[in-house]
Amino acid sequence: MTSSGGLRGYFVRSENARGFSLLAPTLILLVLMMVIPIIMLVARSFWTQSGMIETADFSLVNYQMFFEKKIYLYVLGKSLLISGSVTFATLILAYPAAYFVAFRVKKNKLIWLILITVPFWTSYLLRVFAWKLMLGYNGVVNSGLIGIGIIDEPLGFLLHNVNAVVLTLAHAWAAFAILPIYVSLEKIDKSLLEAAADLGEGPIRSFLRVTLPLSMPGVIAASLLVFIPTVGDYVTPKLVGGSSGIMIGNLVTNMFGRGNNWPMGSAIAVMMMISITLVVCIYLWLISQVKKRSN
Amino acid sequence: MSDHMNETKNIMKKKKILPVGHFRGLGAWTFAFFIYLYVPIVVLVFYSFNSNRMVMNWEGFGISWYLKAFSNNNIQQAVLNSLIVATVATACATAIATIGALVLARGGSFKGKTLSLGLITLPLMVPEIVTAVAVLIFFSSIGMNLGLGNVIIAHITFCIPFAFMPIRARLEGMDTTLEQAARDLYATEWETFRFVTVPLLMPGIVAGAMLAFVISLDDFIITLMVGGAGSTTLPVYIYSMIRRGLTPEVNAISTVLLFFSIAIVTAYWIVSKKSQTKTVH
Repeated sequence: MTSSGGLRGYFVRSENARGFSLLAPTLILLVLMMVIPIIMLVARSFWTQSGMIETADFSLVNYQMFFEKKIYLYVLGKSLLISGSVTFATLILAYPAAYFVAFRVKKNKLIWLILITVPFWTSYLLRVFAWKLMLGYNGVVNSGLIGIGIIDEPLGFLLHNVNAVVLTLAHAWAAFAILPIYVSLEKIDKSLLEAAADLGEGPIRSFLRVTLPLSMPGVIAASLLVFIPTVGDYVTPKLVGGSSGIMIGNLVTNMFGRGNNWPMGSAIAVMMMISITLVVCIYLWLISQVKKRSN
Repeated sequence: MSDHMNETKNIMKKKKILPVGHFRGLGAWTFAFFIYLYVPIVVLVFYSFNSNRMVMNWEGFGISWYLKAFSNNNIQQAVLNSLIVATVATACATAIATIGALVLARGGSFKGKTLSLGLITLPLMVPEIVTAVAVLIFFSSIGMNLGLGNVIIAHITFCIPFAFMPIRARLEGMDTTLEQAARDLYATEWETFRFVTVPLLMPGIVAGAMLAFVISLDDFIITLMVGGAGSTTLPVYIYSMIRRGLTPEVNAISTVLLFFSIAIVTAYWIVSKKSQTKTVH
């Protein structure tokens, strides 16, 4: 080390310079491809467009329109509500299954984990497509019900509505939610539960007082993992939602496509990000309040 | 001993105390969950073997739709595009993520470490649709139009965090004594890295690369927004087919993709399982 002076010596000595020079290509790429584009998106939302002409002057016109025309707020509210229902449904579905694998399965856990995650690794588009086959007018559910003799005519209300969107999204994301919950349940020291049982706690009480609080980090991670991406989903509402199941992601995409109003589309995207951040903050605050209460 | 156990069992039966973790209906719920997960996928596979033109009218078993899908030029081109994008994006994202993880885990403490970590995981925090339109604005503003190149650059960016996570997890679980021993035995820094660190890190790198590959192969919305006319990938093509109407051809491609994914996910779990057991020793 004594002989290495100059630049090389500087790199060996200074962890700052070394760390940054090695990380530089990565950081430059991410700043270039994520940070700058998002800044450009926010900047674009203050532009205006009339007809084919875009004006690059600062203006709040798009945001004014967002709050004045009821459709935008309505679709944003509906998207948040749909994603909230999807998150709730996935937690209700995934928690018991994760619990089962963590506590009841003794042998071949790996096979169970593979079985749970295979649907997640299959193409998302195909899972949505599969639900179109299930719920369609000539779909599996209708043919099944007619076959049994419960109905004579196919039911038209299965597809192209909000329920179909929730059902499909919950199916697509359930496997994603199960992993963090499973990991947090797996970490719980089983002797705590045995201690609770020895001290005369019933299974439900010991679940509410020991297992559930200890698995909360997994539940929170799972709900954020499902909520944040589903708010802006495009494919599911487009393929199974029909006109009543339209979501905010469809409005954004439309503005960048046929609608050809990029500034308005940018403003909708910005409002979507702000509202997701707000909902997540309120959710985390509520959980911290509940924790304080129970302590 | 066994008498004692029987006794305990009897007591448990009498008092109806369930052992820890047992709730009534839990098994049934899990079973129902699996039905919900798998029935749509099984239906998809089942109808891909239908020889009728209409998806939902079962006529008889046949593989005609597979032959038709494989001989479709558009599908061949889309598969080729998808494989090019996913392979290049995976190679670049994994290399970048490996360097990033190494610097962040082993580079000592330097200023801006938390910021760098935040930047690397940023694509996970932003909804995909926002990334898609933001990157579209960026490319059109600087006038970059490289066709498939644009798609590849966008894919590299959002694949980085997916490749990064397993590599970082592996590095954190790795014990540094072997590296120290190599240094004590007069291995140079490069030799230590090449012959000790990299082989130990390999399972993490492989797992990260597989995750990135699957994520890239499956991406739809970013590719749709960023890609031009000539850069249709398989998901974008499948989407347009579904929009046009349901044909068993889509089911056939889906089934092939499904078995491809199952092979990858199984490999992923085996690799990550191996890396876990290795860490323990």
